[in-house]
Amino acid sequence: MYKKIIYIFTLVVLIASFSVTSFAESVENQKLLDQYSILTDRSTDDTEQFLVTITRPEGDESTFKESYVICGNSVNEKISVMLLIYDNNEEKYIPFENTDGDYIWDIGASGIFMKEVILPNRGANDVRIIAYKNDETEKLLSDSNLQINSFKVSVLDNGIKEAIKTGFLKITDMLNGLFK
Amino acid sequence: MKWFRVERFKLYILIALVATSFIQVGILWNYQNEGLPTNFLWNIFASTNEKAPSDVSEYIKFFRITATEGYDESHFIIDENHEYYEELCLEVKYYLTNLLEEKNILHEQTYPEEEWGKVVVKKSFVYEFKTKINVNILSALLNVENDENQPFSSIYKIALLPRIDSNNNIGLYIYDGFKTYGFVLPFNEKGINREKYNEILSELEKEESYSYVVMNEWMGINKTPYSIKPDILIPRGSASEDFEDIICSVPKLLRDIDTSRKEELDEIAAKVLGSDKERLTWGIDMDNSIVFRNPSKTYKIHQDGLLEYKYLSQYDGAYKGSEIEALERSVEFIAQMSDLVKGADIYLSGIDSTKYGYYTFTFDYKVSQRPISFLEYPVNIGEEGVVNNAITINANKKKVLSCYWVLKEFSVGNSNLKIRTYPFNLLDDIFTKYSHLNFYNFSVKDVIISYEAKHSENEENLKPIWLIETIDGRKFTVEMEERKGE
Repeated sequence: MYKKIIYIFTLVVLIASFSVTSFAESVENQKLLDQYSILTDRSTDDTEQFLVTITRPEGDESTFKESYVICGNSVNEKISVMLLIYDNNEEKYIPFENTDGDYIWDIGASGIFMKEVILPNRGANDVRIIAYKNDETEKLLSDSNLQINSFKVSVLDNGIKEAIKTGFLKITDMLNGLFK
Repeated sequence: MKWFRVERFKLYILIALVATSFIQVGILWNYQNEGLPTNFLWNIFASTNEKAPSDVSEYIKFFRITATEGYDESHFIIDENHEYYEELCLEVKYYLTNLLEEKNILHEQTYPEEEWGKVVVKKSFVYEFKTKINVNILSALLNVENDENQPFSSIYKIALLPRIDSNNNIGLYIYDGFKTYGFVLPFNEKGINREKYNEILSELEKEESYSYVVMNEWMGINKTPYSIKPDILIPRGSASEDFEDIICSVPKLLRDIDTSRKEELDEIAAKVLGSDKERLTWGIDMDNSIVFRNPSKTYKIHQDGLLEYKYLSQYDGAYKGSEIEALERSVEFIAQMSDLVKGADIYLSGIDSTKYGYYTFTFDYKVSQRPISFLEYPVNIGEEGVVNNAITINANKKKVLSCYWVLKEFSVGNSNLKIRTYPFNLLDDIFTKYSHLNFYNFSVKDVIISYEAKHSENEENLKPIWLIETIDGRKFTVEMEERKGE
């Protein structure tokens, strides 16, 4: 009987400790957003890409798929990347989780990151990619140890794709007919 | 009179001796210190049917054919069983023949390597060899006269762009690993037209097969901290793929042998040596391997299926010859014993022509169209401690000088493996596993999903792995995660 109780108690402690770590991390991340309102504020100006080179999106982009991969790389060490999306209701940027369930991640040893997200909106999705030195979170300064870049990634309707395709084919058919 | 008869008899003997000495010289020339004149005579009477058929084209196949609608669209792999595979192969052969014969070329231009990255993300059909194939070899395979005026000397990958312009023309792009060469030719009147290419692409999309993306489409060309070749394909998104359960074992003939029985050794000798069988002695070595040898060559078959062959006499560097000649010798050697390998296709995976006096060819296995990798496989004789391919052959235009061949049989089990082909952590996983890697000593030439076969005397179920090859030829592997219970 005692053994069972000890097992259950150990299990509960373990689960609780994992949850506490996860919760602590989540709290830490939220603290960062609360501490620096420039991260979520729409009026914040973009910086140069001096910490991380963002290779996708490369400026404002359009896609036909909701699944979208955000990519970048950095030669710097101890860099974290945060992903936000603009929420019209809250009128600010909010956390935007990738398919792994994270909106903040560290750039690994390869220096390259690829993260898949599901774009929530048909039409424009206002995405913000933030990079910062993760050992200097006490004092993040834009253009010094904090990089902020915003992009519009638009999900187009597949009908447009078909129209472009068939439109192009019609034009090429017409030209082929003319020059035969 | 009697004296005259004796002198004539002596003359005949002398003539006979001179004639046999010429024969002996001929034999030595031909065999290079190999045996007595009786061997030569055996060869004269030997059935010509014993010569193994060797067709180089059987071993030079496309490693992969892919197709895409264009930028940001999925790339699909067209497998060998696909209804359009053969037709697409015939098409590219038609355009290559035209190109090598310099017929119907409307426009040509040479671009830097980066252009290849742009070509493969346009609407295209891309044909890849596993290694660069010399134009002379391709000319021989396509049966065309090569006028050697092409700007390239070898072909690594080929792309057909069915929408190169609004006229009835097709774009043919050649990539040799360093530069990209673009050509515009008229469509093959009897072949696949533009509409048909579109139809094939639409059907591929409808088939809902696994789709891929070019890494540089996401990473940008020349924007990464280390070099990544412009056409690396990785699975698109966090997908899983079904993989067959591939079982690898030592060939039955070698596995079940009783080395104390002469008949069984005889059977192996016949399989391995063919017409050479009569000229070699055989025995069992200390490590229980079977050895066939004569003064000029030795074959050693280990219990794990590794065949080590070595030509022991000196070879003349002047006999290096052309790649196609040496390749033919290699293929003859393989064809003689290929019966021992079951359940796998053998394909040419590498050519090294930089060695003095000979070429090195590597061949590998594909099972159910998936490549099998042998990495750092231990070998005993020769200078090499390990080999990285199923077959490694050194050959010149006259003969095979040495060979390491991991003889295996393959079969497919009943159960399927569901493997997570999640590519996004791949590079981090490599840097974590191989801690000596950094931005300066790493590059990516190829990323493929392969089954890994390890040194073993037993039957083993092979596991799929990521195999990353660097530009300088180093190979790194990362295990793939199996998803159980799905």
